[in-house]
Amino acid sequence: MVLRLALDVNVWVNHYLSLSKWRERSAARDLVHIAFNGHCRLGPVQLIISHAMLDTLQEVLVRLEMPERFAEAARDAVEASATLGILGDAPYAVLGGGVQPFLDPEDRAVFDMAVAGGAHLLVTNNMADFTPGPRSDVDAEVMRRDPEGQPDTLLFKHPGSRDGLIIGSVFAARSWLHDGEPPPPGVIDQFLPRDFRDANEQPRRPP
Amino acid sequence: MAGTTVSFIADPKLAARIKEIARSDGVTQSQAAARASALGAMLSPAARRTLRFVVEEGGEEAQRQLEVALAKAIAQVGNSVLERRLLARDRGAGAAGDGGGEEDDTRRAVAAVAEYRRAIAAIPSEPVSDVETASPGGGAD
Repeated sequence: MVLRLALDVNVWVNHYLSLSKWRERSAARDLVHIAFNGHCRLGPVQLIISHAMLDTLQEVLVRLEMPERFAEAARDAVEASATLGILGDAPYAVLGGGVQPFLDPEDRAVFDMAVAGGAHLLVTNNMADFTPGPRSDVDAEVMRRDPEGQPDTLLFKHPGSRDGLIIGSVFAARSWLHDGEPPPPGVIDQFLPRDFRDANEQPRRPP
Repeated sequence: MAGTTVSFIADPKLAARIKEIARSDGVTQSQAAARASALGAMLSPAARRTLRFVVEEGGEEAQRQLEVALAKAIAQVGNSVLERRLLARDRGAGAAGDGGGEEDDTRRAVAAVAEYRRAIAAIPSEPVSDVETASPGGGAD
């Protein structure tokens, strides 16, 4: 089974930005490498992305003073990786959408792309914009919070996907896809090895 | 483009594809052919022979597999070249290394994308009634 992975534009930007600060290791970089390699600790991966996100990526990199040639190369590499990924999914052009209540139209576009592309996991640096609250009224359930109490894993259920769309922070997603840490129960369970799944199905002791 | 002129006889399908690439990439057919052959010329003799075998015997499915594998490899290598160039560029220029942790990068990335969105939203759009549209008989009204 192929994990359909959507990385928000801010994750791609984060990756190239970290490099420009000489940071050779980052959560964003680990996730970008997973997208390029087409596999993670849980199995094969297909990148899901849209033309609009590719345009945004290129433009933002130029605004961050990356030479245009490099920004274009970044866009081309990401597009090539998605177009001929393990499932050969071309970048998406989402028609319609806009149903989900997000304050920021770009977040809505990213979310619509993830739903239309059948993504299992959408990774973002901007969990606040997807968490039900002042910036979003999307019907998502908080599955886990980070040590600071901020949601780092959300589940959005919709009729197009039996298991729903998981929205995770870069650090949470890196821990599952790269470091091999178990996600919270009910999160991308279908990709976990049987022993992980069995452990997740054990009744949990109350905290 | 500086270089040596080389002529060769190409399979009609290949020639048509070169013409198509030249049109879509905005280069001459000669440049398109030179760029395409650069990839094959990088291969070892055994790999070149295998490629020849795939092209002659593999059919469309094998060629599609090869296309996927090559595109994926090129995307990966392209990204790693870009990563190296970015690291080298900024070290050389002595720029960018402004400290801060990984969380600062994530915040800055979110802010950069949000700033771009605001800039785009601020561009006034042309009223629809002022946009020229094609008439059924051809040409614009």
